[in-house]
Amino acid sequence: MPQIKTNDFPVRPILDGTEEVYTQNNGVNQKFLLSSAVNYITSNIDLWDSKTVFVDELDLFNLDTTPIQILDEADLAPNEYYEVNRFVIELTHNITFTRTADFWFQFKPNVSTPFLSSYDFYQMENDLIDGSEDLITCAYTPWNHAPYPRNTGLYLHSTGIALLGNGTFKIKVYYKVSI
Amino acid sequence: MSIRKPSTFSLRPILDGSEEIYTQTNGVSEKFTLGALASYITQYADTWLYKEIFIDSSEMTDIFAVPVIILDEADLGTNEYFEINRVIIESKFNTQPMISNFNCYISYKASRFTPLNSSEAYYQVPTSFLETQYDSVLCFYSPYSAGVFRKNHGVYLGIDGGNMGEGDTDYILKIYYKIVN
Repeated sequence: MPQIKTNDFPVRPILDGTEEVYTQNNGVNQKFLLSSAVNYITSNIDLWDSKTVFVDELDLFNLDTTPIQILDEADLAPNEYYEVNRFVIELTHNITFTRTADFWFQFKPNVSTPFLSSYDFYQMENDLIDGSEDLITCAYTPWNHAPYPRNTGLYLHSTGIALLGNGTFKIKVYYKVSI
Repeated sequence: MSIRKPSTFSLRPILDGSEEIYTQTNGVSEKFTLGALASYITQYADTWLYKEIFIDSSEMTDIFAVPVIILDEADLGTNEYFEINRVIIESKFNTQPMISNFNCYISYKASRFTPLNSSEAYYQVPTSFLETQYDSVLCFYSPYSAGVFRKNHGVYLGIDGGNMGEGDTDYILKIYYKIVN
């Protein structure tokens, strides 16, 4: 059976990390997985995970008593914590919201922890919520956010009965788990 | 012709992404390029595009009438928007400082000649920086209260109220951004 020259190999359609790569260093033949190479390349890069949460008016209506979980404390190992890089929030509405409370992102031990200003991390822009058009806001971690303990989750909470209206908030949070 | 051992291959001086990498995974021989590998590695990375704009003193003097375009709304597809990571501004002082009697903003707007609306202001450039009398640098990330903006809007440098006083300082604006849908 004739040998195929390496440059005649077919192109692999999708890379998934299971590919074996061969090396010959100092005359020693070895192989490694592409996923190992990726881990090596990215090991010292400041990477952020992202998560998108959709929140509609029904979720918001009870926001003062039932906060919305953005990052789950159950996903943290002991002594780990979430570091948040930024929020990107889009509002798409059908009926303009009438806001009757302030919206805060707070680090809290769990969903049942009551609203306390000492948990405040970032206040959602009132201009965003009150707008009569579809709007976007982007905010990085503020310099004056409240301190938070390890192993706490991130929640969207309101200071009172939230609002009336009809629409959807798309909340994208960029974060990493740190220890 | 004898087969050469891979360890005796010559060193490729520069990588440009076109390099072929060969694999034999589960007995199947295939190849991929270094460019495809780079895309695979960076697909989940939070990467930013970069743009640099030179604004000379005459453009700065006329900025009230003719705002400077930083990110062009024409480069956006339907329902896309610009997300800004950070802006770095450098001033190159020549002979005479600029005089700023009004507020200078980086702002999202529908088009160049849309009036400046402070509710869409992304960042107010400090007067002390505009009027600097020596070369200086300013770097800032998207602020805590960056305001709100709309899809399909561009980003402009503009001023409210009236013209800048004449001066002789040039500026270099560097912006890190991405296009989001």
